[in-house]
Amino acid sequence: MRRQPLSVLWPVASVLLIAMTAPAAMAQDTPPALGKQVFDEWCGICHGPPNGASGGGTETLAALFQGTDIPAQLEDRTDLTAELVTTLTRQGRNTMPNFRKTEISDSELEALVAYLVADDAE
Amino acid sequence: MAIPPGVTEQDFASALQEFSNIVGEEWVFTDEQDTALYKDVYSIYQNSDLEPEVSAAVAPDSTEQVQAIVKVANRYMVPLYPISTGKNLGYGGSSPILSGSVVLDLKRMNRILNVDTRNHTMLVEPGVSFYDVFDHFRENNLPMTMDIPDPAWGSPIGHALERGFAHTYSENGRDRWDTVCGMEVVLGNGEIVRTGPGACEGSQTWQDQKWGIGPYVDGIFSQSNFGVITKMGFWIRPAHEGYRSLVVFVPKYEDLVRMVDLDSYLQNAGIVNGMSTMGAPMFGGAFMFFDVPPPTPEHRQLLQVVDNRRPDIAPLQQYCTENRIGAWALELKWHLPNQISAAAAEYTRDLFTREIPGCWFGDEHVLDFPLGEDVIATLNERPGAPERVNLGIPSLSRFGMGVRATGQPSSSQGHFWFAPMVPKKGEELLRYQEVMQQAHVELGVPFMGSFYGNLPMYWTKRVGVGLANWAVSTDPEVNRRTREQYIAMTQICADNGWTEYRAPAPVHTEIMSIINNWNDGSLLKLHEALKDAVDPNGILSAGRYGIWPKHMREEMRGA
Repeated sequence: MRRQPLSVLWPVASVLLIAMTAPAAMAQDTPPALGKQVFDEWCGICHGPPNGASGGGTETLAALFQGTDIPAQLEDRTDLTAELVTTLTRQGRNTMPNFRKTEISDSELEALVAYLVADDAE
Repeated sequence: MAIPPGVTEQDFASALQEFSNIVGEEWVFTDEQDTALYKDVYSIYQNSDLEPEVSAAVAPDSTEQVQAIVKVANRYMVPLYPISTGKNLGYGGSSPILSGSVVLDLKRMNRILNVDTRNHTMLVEPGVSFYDVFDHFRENNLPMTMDIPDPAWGSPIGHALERGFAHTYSENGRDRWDTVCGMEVVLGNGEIVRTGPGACEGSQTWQDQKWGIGPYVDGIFSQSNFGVITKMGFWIRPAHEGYRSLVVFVPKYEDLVRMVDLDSYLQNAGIVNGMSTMGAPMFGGAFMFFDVPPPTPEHRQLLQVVDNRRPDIAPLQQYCTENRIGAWALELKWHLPNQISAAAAEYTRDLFTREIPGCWFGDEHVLDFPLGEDVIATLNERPGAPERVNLGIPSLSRFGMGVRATGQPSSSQGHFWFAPMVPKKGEELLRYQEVMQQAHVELGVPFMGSFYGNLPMYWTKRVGVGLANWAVSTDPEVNRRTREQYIAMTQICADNGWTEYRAPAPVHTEIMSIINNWNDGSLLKLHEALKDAVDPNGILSAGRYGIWPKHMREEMRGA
C-alpha cells in the first residue's frame, strides 16, 4: 500500500461492504522506482519536507548540518553512500529506530540505496 | 547464536527446522545480524550484559502458520515473543523480555480483511499499521476514519493489546481497547479461539457486538500473555464532516477545580466528544500546546522554584491578572457536523461564563471537510493549531520529541516513559504536581522546568496520564540509575494511589509487584492461574508485565 499526496480526503463512497486483501509486498518495480516507494513508505515520514507531521528527521539533520552546504532532506543529498544508507536503515541512530527485514527486505533496501545514492558517491 | 534457556542445542535446531518447514527458510532469521534487528533500539540495557538476546525470529503469514509454530514451540519448550509491527518504542520495542526467546514477527500478516462502512467496523491482521488503514480508506474511497496515535507506524492490534490511547473521539475512540470487538486468538496451547459472537460458525455480528452468551474473555488477551492475536475487530468512525475546537482561559489559580469538573461534565454528558487538552499558562507551561507566548523574563522570575516548593501564588496571580494571562487553559474539541458543534460550543461558552466568573475564550478553529491541501498544510503548523493526530491523519510529530532540533542540540538514544494515572479532580492534580516535583528532586531525576507547569494528558475521560520521560543513554551506569529512579517513582505514586497504565519492558516485573499489593496480590495470582491454564508450558511472552511461566516464576520474581 503506497502513500499518496493528500488531495481530497474520504469522498463519500457507494461501496457499503468491502472485503479485500491488502497486498503484503510491494509491487515489483525497477530499482529506482521501487526505491522511491520504499522511501515514501518508511523514510519520508521523517526525512521528507518538514510539514508538522514529521518525526523530525529533516529537522534533526538541519540542526546537525547547520552552517554547512549539506542539505537536510535526504532526497536532496548527493553525498550519501550505500554503506551509510544500509547501516542507518538496519541499525538506526539515536531516536531513529532500525528497520527489520519484514519491514524493508534486502531487495527493497538495495532499491532504496539505488534511489538515494548518487552514482558518483557509490 | 543464543539458545533459549532450558532448551538443548539439538532441540532448538529441530525447532528451527520445523519453523522453516512451516514458513519457508527465508522467514526464519538466525544470523546474528538479523536477530540484532529485533533488539529494543531504545533499550536501557544497551551496552550491558543485561540486554535480552534474540535467539531467532520467525515470520508467519497466516493463522495456520502461527498455530503450527506455537505447537512446535510447545513440543520443544521454545519461548516465543509475539510482536505485531514491533514499534512499541519507549516501552520495549520488538525485544523479548526473556533473553533467548524467539521473536514471532507478525508484520507479514498485514491484511485489512474487512471494512463495514454501514456499521463502521473493520477486521485486520496484526501487521497492519495506522498508515495502512488510512491509506486503505483513501485508496478505496471509504468514508471512514479511526482514532490514530502518534506515532502512527504502530498497529491497531499492537496498540490495543498494549492498551494505548489515541487523540480523537471520547466514546469508542481514544481508549483503543474500548474499540476492540471480536478477535481470533491462537492460545499458548495451540488452540484457535474466536471470541464473542465469533464463536459461532458463520457469525454475522462478530465485529458488531462484543459479548453474548458466556463470560466475556477478550480482556485476558490484552498485553499478550495468553495468546497470539491473529485477527481483531475494531469499531471505527464515519469520516469527519466537521471539526471545531475552542480554548477557555480561567483567571484564578483556584479555578482549576471547577474547570476540570466542567470538562468532566461536558465529556460525560456527551456535549463535548473530543479530547480535551489542559495547560498552565500561569506556570509557564502552556506555550507548547496553546497559542500563548512563552513566559517573559519577569514571569519566569516569579516561577522560580525555591526550596522545592510551588512558587508563591499571590505575586503570580497578580502578574497574570495584570497581563491577562490565564491561570489555566482548556481546549475543547468537537468531531461533529459544524452546525451541531456550533450549538454545543455556544452552550459551552455560556456554561463557563456562568460558572467561572472572569473566564475568557481564545481561538475557535472550525474545519470543513473534506480538507483541502491548503488547510492540511496549516495543521500542526504552530501550537494551538489543529493537529493531524486529532483528525485521524497519521503523523509522527509528537513522537519526534527528543530529536535534535533548534533549541535541543543533542539527541537522546530514545524514550523511557513513566505514565501514572491520576484522578480527574483539580485538587488531586495539584497534589500530584507537588508529589512529583518532590520525587524528581529527591530522586535526582532530570527534567525540564517543573511539574507545576505540566498537567496530565486526558486521553480517557476520567483519569489523566501524568507523563514523565527519561532520555536513554549509551552509558549503562546512567541507564541503571534511570531504572532505579523509575521503580522508586512507581512506588511513590503507588503509595499515593496512582498506578501506571503502561510501562517499559525492563521494569515490568517490579512494577507488577508494586501495584499488586491489595489482598496479598490476589489479582496477580489470578493472572498466573490463567497463564497456567491456557499456556501451560509458558511458551508465550515470558515475563511480559511480570507474568512468568510457572517453571520460571520463583526464579524471576521470587514467588
